[in-house]
Amino acid sequence: MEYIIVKFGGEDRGVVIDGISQGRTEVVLEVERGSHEISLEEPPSDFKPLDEKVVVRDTTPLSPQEVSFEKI
Amino acid sequence: MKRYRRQLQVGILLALLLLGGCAHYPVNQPLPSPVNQKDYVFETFSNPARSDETFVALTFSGGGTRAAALAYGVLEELRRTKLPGTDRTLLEEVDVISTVSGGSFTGAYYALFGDRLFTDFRREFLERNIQGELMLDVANPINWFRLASPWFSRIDLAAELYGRTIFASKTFQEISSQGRRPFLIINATNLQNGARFEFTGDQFRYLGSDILSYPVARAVAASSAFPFLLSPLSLINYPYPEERKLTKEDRLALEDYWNNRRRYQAADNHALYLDATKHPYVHLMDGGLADNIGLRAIYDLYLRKDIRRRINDGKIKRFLVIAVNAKAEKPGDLDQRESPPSLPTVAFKTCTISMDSYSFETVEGFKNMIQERIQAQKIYSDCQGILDTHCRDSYRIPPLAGGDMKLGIVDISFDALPDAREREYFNGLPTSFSLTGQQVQKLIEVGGRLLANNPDFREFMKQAF
Repeated sequence: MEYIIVKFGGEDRGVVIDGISQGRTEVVLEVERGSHEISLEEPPSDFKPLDEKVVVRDTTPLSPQEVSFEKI
Repeated sequence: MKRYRRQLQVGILLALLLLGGCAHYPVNQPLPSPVNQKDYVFETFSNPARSDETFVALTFSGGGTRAAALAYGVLEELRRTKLPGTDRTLLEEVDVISTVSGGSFTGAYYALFGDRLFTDFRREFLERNIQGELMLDVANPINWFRLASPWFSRIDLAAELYGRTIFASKTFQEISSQGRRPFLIINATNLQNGARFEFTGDQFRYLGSDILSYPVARAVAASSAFPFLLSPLSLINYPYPEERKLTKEDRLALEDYWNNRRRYQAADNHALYLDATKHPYVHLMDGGLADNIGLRAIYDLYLRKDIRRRINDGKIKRFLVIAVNAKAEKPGDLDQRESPPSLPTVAFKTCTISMDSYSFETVEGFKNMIQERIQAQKIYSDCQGILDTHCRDSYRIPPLAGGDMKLGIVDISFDALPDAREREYFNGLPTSFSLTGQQVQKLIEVGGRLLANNPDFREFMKQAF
């Protein structure tokens, strides 16, 4: 299992992984090793980029891969 | 007069041959419209009366009536197990049942008829000579003509028998319309690529086909179509838009050949169904060929599907998997003779050795995955504890989704019986669809006892509630 944390300037928002809503921002989420498309729940569409593709590997619960979204 | 009679006889024979030759298995239907593609998937099996806090998954292995009766005994014990401080039973908390071969009869009956299982199932399946009835059907001259058709075979007769006498000709629509858990996953094996094939809406979407109109009995027949004894069961793979057949997860996984070969392989197995012109049919056999304990379906749910989503959403507080494995291991005497075993023995061993070894590895692999989560939780809490002790303004580590879950995996098998004579008795029971009433009774009793006395189960119940 691998770990990611999604950041949105400290704001709480639902996370979308590979098109499925699951988990919240600022929480360490478990994902399967490999390629994933990360986004945030809408509405509102007040973030950029719209989604981010990452390859998650070699993480631990204490050093998750960070994915950040900026408020627009 | 004699000539006319003879002509009449020939005419009747020809008509029967013609009718029989036209016999065709009931085909799976194409998806009526894209809106139905979410039917018979786990997420639609919600039950407002029950939360996901306690998530229980059961897997029932293959092994003929032996497996079906052992699974029944475990269900009875779950029904007797009260959740501390409530009037609810652990059986009411079961969310998903994944079944293979003989275990599919018990799982499908419970999913369709609920508690009626405990009053009717012994009479309707466990104590019947199903294989004797199947032989009678095969011996019926009317069926000879049907079996002469290239589109109708022994598995279709078996499915008719199961549908008529056990499952009341119900379809997946009947399970789905109840809208209550457990969600049933019946597993078979695709002979083309050797991959697990599950009877769910997700799997049927890859075929562009509607699962709701499909008979449950045919799924059970495919799941229990033991090689050589029964013929494969066939399905049609319909053309359907690629963007609807493959999920986003599949498309991303297909890029993961170098990152995660297992994930890639799972998606590649789904991609097989994309080209319906090149692969217009699917031929299924016993689910045991791909996974004889049904745990791989739970593995997929945990790793990348609905269970993962619920853990990331923090909905699951207690997660329990009970794998009921009716594997019987006769000691045998192969190594006591100098001459090599006969061809039939070698053929049988070829079928079963790899199945048993793979089952063992599947259980152990799943245990490792659960252990990995327990370790992650411990690392997190230990680290936070050290920070709290040694730092004045202690830093809060971002929380791990799902928090401090209680997890358990319980492996039920005859190997756990402490008494050697009893172990030998159960290991000596045949894999067939005909056992005596006494054998069935003993299997039911031992199923309950194996669960109640299982140290992992007792530990989970103590820690989790």
